[in-house]
Amino acid sequence: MNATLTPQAGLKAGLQAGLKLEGLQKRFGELHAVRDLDLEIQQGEFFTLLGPSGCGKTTLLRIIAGFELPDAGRVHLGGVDLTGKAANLRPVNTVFQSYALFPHLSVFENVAFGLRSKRVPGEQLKPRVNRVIEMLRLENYATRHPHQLSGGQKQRVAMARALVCEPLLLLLDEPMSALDAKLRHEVQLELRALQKRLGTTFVLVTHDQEEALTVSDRICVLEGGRVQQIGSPEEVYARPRNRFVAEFLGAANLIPAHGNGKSVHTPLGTLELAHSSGWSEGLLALRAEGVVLCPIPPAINGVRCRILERIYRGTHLEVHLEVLGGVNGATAPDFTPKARTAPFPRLERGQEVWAQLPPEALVALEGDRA
Amino acid sequence: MKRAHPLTTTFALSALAFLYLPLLAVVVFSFNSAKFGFNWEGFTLEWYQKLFKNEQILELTQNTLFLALVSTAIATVLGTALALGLERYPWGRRMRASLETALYLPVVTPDIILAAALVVIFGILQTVSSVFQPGMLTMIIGHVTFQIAFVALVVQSRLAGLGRELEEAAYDLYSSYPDLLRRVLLPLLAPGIAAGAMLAFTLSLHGFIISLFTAGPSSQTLPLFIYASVKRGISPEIHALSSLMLLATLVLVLGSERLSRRKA
Repeated sequence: MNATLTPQAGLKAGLQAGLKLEGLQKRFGELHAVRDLDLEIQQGEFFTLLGPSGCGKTTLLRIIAGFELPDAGRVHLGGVDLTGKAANLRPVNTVFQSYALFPHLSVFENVAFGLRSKRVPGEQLKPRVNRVIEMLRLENYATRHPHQLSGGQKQRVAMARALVCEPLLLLLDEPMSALDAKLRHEVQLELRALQKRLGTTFVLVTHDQEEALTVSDRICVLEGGRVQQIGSPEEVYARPRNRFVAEFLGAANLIPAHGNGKSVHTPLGTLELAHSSGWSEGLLALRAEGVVLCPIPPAINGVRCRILERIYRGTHLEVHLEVLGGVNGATAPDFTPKARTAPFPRLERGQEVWAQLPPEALVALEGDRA
Repeated sequence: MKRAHPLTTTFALSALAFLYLPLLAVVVFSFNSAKFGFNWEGFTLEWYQKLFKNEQILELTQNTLFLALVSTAIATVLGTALALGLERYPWGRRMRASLETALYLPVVTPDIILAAALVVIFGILQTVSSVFQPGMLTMIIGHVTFQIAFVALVVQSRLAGLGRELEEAAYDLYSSYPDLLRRVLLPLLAPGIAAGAMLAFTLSLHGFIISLFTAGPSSQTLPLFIYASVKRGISPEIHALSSLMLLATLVLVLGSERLSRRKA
């Protein structure tokens, strides 16, 4: 395998193992799956491509893996141009969505598959395979076949099979989607710990925002084959750049506003912002948990409301509000803010409360208007 | 379970009887000690014994098996390659549809037409080389031509059921194509390939019309012999021979069926 770059060789040569995508384009007939996409992923980063189905995230992953050829653009990994290279010549391994374990091979042989392709001699192969099998707690299943494993075990075999090859980059295509909710959360935490321990660059594809927030160092939100926002989980969650990101990450309230500066006009009255809006007309995003409910009028951005609906969710209370009067006595608009509080027993349907829209929780979204 | 109306059952059983009674009659008469006619005169294994002592028949059996084995081996390799090409090459939608039709056509084409075509082709080729004189080679070629489609169809259906993700996984794990064939595709397709081969073997074993048109004087097979003998009058030995061929077919078909049903 002289044509491939092993991690050791790459690092010895002092190369950056980071992934760099430049001007990627991919069309499938009418569908423009990936457009003008530029992206840089650092070595050792847990990077997540987040978006709804059809946003281009899987196509992007397949281009990185070498299963699809981009129509234009380049893929660099560790300073080497991989664009035209076949999948079997890339120092990149994939954990497939359905795991794609070889049904006719035992767990051991599944894990050993990549090393056998590379003609690693037996005396080196066995300890390497066993080490990874132990790392993923599969030692009791090594002789079993995939059909004798549970979903979680299959997922670990798929991880082991990819990791034993010591790739420069591990691609994960919705690897948790076949697991039930409880197991999924466990696996997410394990995955993150594993990535931190190995220091391998992970690129995860998912449509699950909670999963993305839990595991990632950075998240790239994709839609329509374009990057919408790249940032840490905190940045993407708390400071969505545009309407798509705000809605996809569950911002419940979008408030149309106009006025450039720290004080903007909305149907709820004039609201104070923490940062200048940067436009003369646009949208403000406000998460449900950003709304503060209080019995007395707050000093700033206070709106008088009545509780329309009170939904008990166990960990929190979801409250739908009817606005009775805007900030500083502005007339009541046709707008139903949603709030989320600790399960606070004193809130009842029909009760009147004050809702504060704290300036630091109001995010001015870029570019588009309701 | 819901019970069927008695008439339905009657019809089903009559249809089965219609299919199997003539075959059953042949088997029964192969054990009949009467030399002529259809009267039951007692059980005997005489005809089977005579059959196994008949050197001509042993030679014919050799020819038949040789033809079936060689043609099946060739057809299995070609048919599997054809299935892989048809199923995995990124054909356009229209091209794929016409290729699939092209694959079905030999299956539904009457043997006699294929046989006549072969006679014409071999007639032309004989002017080029004398190896195309009617004989074992032309028979093998003839049998391979109709076997390929059957092997390809069986293997293709298994390949379609396999999905592409395993191949992508193998590539992702640094496999080359020969590696992928040897370590993933062939082991997983093996039951399909074996089923296709058994089907092809069965078809060759009693491929009569193609043999009739392509055989030479020294390459006679059992079906051709049975045909010639029956014209001279039916003997109990022929019944015994037919029964044995029936048994061989039954075993092969059941085997093929079991293999093609096996899960991937």
